[in-house]
Amino acid sequence: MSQSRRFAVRAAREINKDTFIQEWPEAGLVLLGATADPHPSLRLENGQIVEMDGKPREQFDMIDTFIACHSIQLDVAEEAMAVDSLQLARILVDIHVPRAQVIRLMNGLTAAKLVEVVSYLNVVEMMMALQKIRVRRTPANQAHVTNRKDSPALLAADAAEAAFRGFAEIETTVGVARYAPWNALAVLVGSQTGRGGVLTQCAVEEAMSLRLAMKGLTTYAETLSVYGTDPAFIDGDDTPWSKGFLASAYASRGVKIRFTSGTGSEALMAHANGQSMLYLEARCLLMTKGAGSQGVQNGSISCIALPESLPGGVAAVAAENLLAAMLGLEVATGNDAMASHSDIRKCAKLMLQFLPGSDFIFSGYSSIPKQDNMFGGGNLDADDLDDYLVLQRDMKVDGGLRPVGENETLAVRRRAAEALAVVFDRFGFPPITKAEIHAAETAYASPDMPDRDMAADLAAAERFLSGPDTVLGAVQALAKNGFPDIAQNIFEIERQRVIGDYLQPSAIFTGRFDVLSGINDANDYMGPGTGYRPSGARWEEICNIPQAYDPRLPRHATSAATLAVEECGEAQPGSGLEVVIAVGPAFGTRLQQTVNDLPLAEVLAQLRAGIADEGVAARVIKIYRTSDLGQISFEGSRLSGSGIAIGTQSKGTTVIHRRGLLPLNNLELFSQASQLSLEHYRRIGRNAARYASGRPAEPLLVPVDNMARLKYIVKTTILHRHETECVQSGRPAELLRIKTLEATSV
Amino acid sequence: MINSEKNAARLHDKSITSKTGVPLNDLSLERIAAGWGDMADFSISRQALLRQAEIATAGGWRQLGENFRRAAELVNVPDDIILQIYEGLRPFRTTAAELGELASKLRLQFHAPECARWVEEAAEVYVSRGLLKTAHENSDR
Repeated sequence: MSQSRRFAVRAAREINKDTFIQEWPEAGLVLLGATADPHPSLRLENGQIVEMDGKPREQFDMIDTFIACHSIQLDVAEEAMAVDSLQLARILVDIHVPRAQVIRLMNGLTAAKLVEVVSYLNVVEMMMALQKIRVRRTPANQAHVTNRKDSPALLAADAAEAAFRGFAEIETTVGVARYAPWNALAVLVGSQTGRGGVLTQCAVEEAMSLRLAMKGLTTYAETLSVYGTDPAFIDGDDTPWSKGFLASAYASRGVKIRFTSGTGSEALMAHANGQSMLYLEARCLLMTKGAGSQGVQNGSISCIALPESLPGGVAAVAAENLLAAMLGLEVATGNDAMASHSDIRKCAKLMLQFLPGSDFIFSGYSSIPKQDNMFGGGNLDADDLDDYLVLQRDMKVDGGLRPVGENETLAVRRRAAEALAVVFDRFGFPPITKAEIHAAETAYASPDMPDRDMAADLAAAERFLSGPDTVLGAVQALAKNGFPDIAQNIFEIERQRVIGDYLQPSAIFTGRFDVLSGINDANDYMGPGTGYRPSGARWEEICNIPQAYDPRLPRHATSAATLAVEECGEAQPGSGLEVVIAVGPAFGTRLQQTVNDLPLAEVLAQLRAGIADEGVAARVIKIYRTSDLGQISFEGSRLSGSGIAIGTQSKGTTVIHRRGLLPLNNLELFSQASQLSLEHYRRIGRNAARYASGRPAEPLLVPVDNMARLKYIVKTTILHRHETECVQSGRPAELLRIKTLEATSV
Repeated sequence: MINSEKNAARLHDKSITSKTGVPLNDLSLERIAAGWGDMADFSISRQALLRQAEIATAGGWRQLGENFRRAAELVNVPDDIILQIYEGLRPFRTTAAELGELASKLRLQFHAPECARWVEEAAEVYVSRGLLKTAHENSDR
């Protein structure tokens, strides 16, 4: 049997490392429309739900009961349930229907009805809807900061960098659970070094998480997981009431929370009850709302590869983000786990949240290299940060991050590690050494960090957790030891607990500790010209990635060779056996290098050497009246004694021309200047000389590079623009005398 | 544009106090650096949470408002009791009687009627869904 080499190449591609399966509805391996999914219905009697999604109250399970008691707003339920689902889907994208009006109706829908509504939308409509109805007007982003060694200095430095880069929230976790109070402390100190007001959390077991918050070490929590079937929820060792109580407990300590859910978790736990992922997610979201959480992180989260294995998976994940927004919940839209082996697929998936914007585009962008990500590795990581910054600039989308320079970043990292060392000293922890601080400043990842005595560290961390010290000790130490600004930021974070504004939906702090939330920064999108658009200083910031340079300034690479020429008056028609080298108007004056950084002095030297190799004389003239290569070489051939001329633009594009040919015709054209080496220029010189003396010449073949246009079009445009600026119309060609004469060997 | 007039903090800067009654403006870095205060002074008060409940409800987040009202009731419940109640609400941890005691404690000792009702409602569901300690032990056999 024959084998296709093309199929073989494709089989080895990253996309084919991903897993794809057909639907298996009985196992919950289907996004929408499982046979066990109920049809929407709702019946009220005496202000109480007596039937919901086809099920009478007597048959309600735990989750049904919770939803019926707390989630569906009865005052609007009958009105909303009576509206056709297609009509509800349409108002989600109708720019003439205000967000508040849409949300009011959505608050009265059952799980089955919510799913029926989103099932009418394609992904573009889902993005339109998310853009319109997400809670906060200004989009934001969350970072993951962890490391495999639980190195405190590195955690502080990485948290500082993440904050400095613009992440509004930072989530950490632990390799070893007992490190929790240390990691929370390191990330708090680091984050407030990078930018005041960044919210931080440490994802650990619920009771521990609450203790960290009570000690002032964290400002939010998002690990309150909910599941869409009773057995899955109970396997998770909680109930909607225990989670709801936790929500109140956190709020009572001034701590922001969001719940966690996501498609696929029930199927993974083999408890999907034969129901579709999206239907079960709608139940999770209704519980989240009913429990009084201000928001949720969803979008399949750590299960992402499961929906992605199925038809419509990526669209359904966008739908679940949208369902959360429809219920008025802040939504941190996943992208926090590896979604594919394929970069194309990873990025395509990201666009569904990135383009419309969400409250947090990632519920954990891995701002550290994925090898150190203790959550398993984000869809994008530290290595991809420059890509992400370019995407913001490309799409004119605010993805929540800003470009930063290396020096400032290193300074912030070092300061965070130094500040944490002061705090460690205050609490009597095993010290953070100078070597650790230095390593944390420049590290790629935790293997670059010196090892610590883990047993002693864990003992100190446990003493800290059970002892009387709190975050206030850290504030004192920082204030007294040369870090008053960091002390002030941590102090302010703690003070904000007393106010509680950041408990409101979708709240984040600006660097000045102003709250942006659904209350005071409500999404006001109503179609073109409305809603959030990056503009002014923020857009400037997004534009100014460090790689971008000013095209008005010619950029000279490091090469030293500069061409010096002397103009010797108007070039006259020549006679006898000669080749004229006609160069563009900026050649050797404004411009000194070709598009691929060959010094023009050497290019010219090689052309002349090649002509000399064949025993022919050369004359160099500069064309002023045009920068067009056809015209340059046409003029050269007109003045050439032999009728043969080499035309060369300053960017390196070269042609051999013979008098009598039309300007756009030629003997040989080397249009991809980026592919020319000095050796090529020498051979061009030889060929021109052979044409001049009537001997046969073998046309020179230059390698083709598919990427040349991509790599050089910008530079080509800029160089040609500079050359054209040097055009002096009406000025005749000048004869040049070359001062730097000798060609370097090639 | 940010509508700062609607910013709850701005409206209440003057009147807000911590759980311990310290006015917001008296919480300063200088005092903390000098060794004054503890975490209780950085804890939200019942009044502040009730105000946040009003704001949430007025903004259309009814359940969030209810949550803040329950939270307001928990302000003066000590950390260990909070953790004890949370643990008690997890599946198969408590008997109906124990949940009843927790509810009573919330209602009588801490004047937390909404939280008490929450626990009682859970108890009812746990009975019918077999999520109580005894039920679990029986079902395991």
